Amino acid sequence: MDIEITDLTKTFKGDARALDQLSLSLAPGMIGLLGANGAGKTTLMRIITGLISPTSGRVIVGGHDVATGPGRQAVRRVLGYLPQDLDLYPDLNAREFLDYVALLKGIDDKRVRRSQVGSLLERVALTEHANRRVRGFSGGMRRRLGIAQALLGDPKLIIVDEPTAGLDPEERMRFRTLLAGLGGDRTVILSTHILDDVAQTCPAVAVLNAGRLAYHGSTNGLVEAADGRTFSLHTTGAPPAGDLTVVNAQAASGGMLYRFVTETPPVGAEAVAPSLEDGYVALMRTSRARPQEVARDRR
Amino acid sequence: MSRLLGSAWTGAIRYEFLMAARRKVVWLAVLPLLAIGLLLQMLSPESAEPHTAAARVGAWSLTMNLLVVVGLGVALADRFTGTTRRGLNELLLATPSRLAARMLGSLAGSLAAALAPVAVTMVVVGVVFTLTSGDVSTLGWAVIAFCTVNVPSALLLTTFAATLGLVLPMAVVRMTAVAGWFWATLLSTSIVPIPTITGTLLSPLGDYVAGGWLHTPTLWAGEGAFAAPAPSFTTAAVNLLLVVAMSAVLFTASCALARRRL
Ligand SMILES: Nc1ncnc2c1ncn2[C@@H]1O[C@H](COP(=O)(O)OP(=O)(O)O)[C@@H](O)[C@H]1O
Ligand SMILES: [Mg+2]
Repeated sequence: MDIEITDLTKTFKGDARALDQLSLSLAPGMIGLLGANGAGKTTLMRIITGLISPTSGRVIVGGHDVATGPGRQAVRRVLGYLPQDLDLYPDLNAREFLDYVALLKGIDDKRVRRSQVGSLLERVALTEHANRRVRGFSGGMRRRLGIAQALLGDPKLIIVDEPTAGLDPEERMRFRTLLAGLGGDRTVILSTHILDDVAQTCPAVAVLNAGRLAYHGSTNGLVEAADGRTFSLHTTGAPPAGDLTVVNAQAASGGMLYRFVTETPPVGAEAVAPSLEDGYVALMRTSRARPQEVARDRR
Repeated sequence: MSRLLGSAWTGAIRYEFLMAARRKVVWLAVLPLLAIGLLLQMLSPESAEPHTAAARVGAWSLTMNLLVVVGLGVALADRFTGTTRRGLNELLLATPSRLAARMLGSLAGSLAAALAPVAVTMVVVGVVFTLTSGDVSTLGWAVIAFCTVNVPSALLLTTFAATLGLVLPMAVVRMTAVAGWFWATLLSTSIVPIPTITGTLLSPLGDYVAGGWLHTPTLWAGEGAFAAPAPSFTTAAVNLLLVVAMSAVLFTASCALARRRL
C-alpha cells in the first residue's frame, strides 16, 4: 500500500506548527519514523489514519484521499492502528477486548474471530493471561494487547505509534520478531525513540525534525551520514570540547572513553565505524544547521 | 455496509453489557433503590385493594420507575463519555465501525445490564400474582409492563443523562438527571406553581401506559397543566410513542455532539 503525502501542514490552536510543508512518499515495507519529542510523528500518523485533518496538504493512501469520508472509510478497512496514548477497557479481559475490536473491524464470523484472537494472544505471549481483566495488566502487557488488536483482521496498513514504549528487553525482542514476520506487501509505519528497534527491523527510515522531513531513505544510508564524522577518544583529563555531540561516554582503563560526532575532530581522536545512533546524531547536527536543504537533498 | 454496522452493533451491545454488569457503581445505584421500591410496594395499602392482577403488576412497574430508573440514569450518565478518553477513542475511531452504531450498542447494552434486576423483579412479581390470582395472563402483563413502562422510561432518562454528559461535568449531569426526573414525573403543577410536564402526555413516568393498558390507578396522568387527556388505550400509545421519540431525538443530538468533540 503506497502512501503519498504532499505539502502537509498542521497548525494546532495556539500557533504550534506540528507539521510544516511535509512531502513524503512511502512504499510497502517497514518504515521507521524517527524524531525528537514534539517532532510531529504522532501528528503525522493521526493525519494518515484520518483521525485529525491537516491544515493544508494532501494524503493519499492506496489511492484513497483521507480528506474524504469514503476515503477514510476505505483506509480504515485495511488499517491496524496502535495509538501512542494507549487506553483499554479496564473491565474486559484480554480475549474479550480483542473479540470486541474484531467485531468493530467487521469480522463477523465467530470462528474466524476466535482463531485470530487466539493466535494473536499467542503471538504477543498473553495466552496465559487471556482471561484476566485488563485492569490488572502491567504497562508492557497493555502495550502487547494493543499491538495484538492492531494486527486483527490482517491489515495491509499498520501504523504503530511508539509500540515498544514500556516494553522490557524480552518483550521488545518478541515484538521485533512479530513485526519481521509480517512481511508481504504490507506497509508498516513504526514510530519510536529507540533507534535499535529501527536498526533491527526497518530497512527504510524517515526522520522528522520540527515538523519537517530531515531524512527519508534506507536505514544504512542514515548510518552513512555519520561516515567520517564519528570518533572516539580515550582521555584521563577533560572531556573533548568544541563543536561536537557526545553520543556515548563510559569509564575505561582509568579514564573515560568518549564517542562523538563532529566535523572537526580534536587531536588524538580516532575515527570509528558509525552506528544508526551516530547517523541520527550527525543528521540532527546537519539539519539544525540548514534544515531546508537537507530535506530536499535526501528525497 | 449493513453487515459492518451489524457486527459493530453486536460487539458494542455484548461488551457494553458485560462492562456495565461488571461495574460496581451500576449495582450500587440500582440495588438499594430496588430494595426500597420492593419494601414500599409491599407495604403500600394499594396492593391490598381488590384490583385485577394486571393492575397490581402495573403498580409495581410504576414503583420501579419512580425509584429504580432514577438510579439507572445516574449510573449510566457517563455512557457516551466513557469513550472520550483519547487513546481508546482513537483506537475505536480507527476501526471501520460507525460511531452511531457503537453509541447505540453502548446505550442498549448498558441499559440491558442495569435493567436486568428490574426485569427479574417484574417476572417474579408476575409469577407471584399468577399464583395468587390463578390468572395465567398476569405473567404476560408483567412482561408487557416491563417492556412498555420500565424500558421506555429508562431509555429516555439514560439517553438524557448520557447526552448531557457530553457537554457538562458528570456531577452536574447526575444532579440534573435526578432533578429532571422528578420534575418530569412527580412534581405536579398542583403541588408547586412551576410549569412541569408531570401528568402530561410528555411525562416519562409510565402511568399513562400503566393506566391505559393495565388499568392501574394512575398517579398524575391526565392531571398535567397542558396536553393531559384522560388515560386510555390511545393516549397511552401516544405517550409511549412520545417518550420513545424524545429518546430518539436526544440520541441523534448526542451523536452530533460526540462527532463534534472528536
Ligand atoms: N492536540 C494538540 N494540540 C496542540 N498542540 C499539539 C497537539 N498535538 C500535538 N501538538 C504539538 O505538535 C507538536 C508535535 O507533536 P507530536 O506529533 O505529538 O510529536 P511526536 O509524536 O513526534 O512527539 C508538538 O509541539 C506538540 O506540542
Ligand atoms: Mg508521539
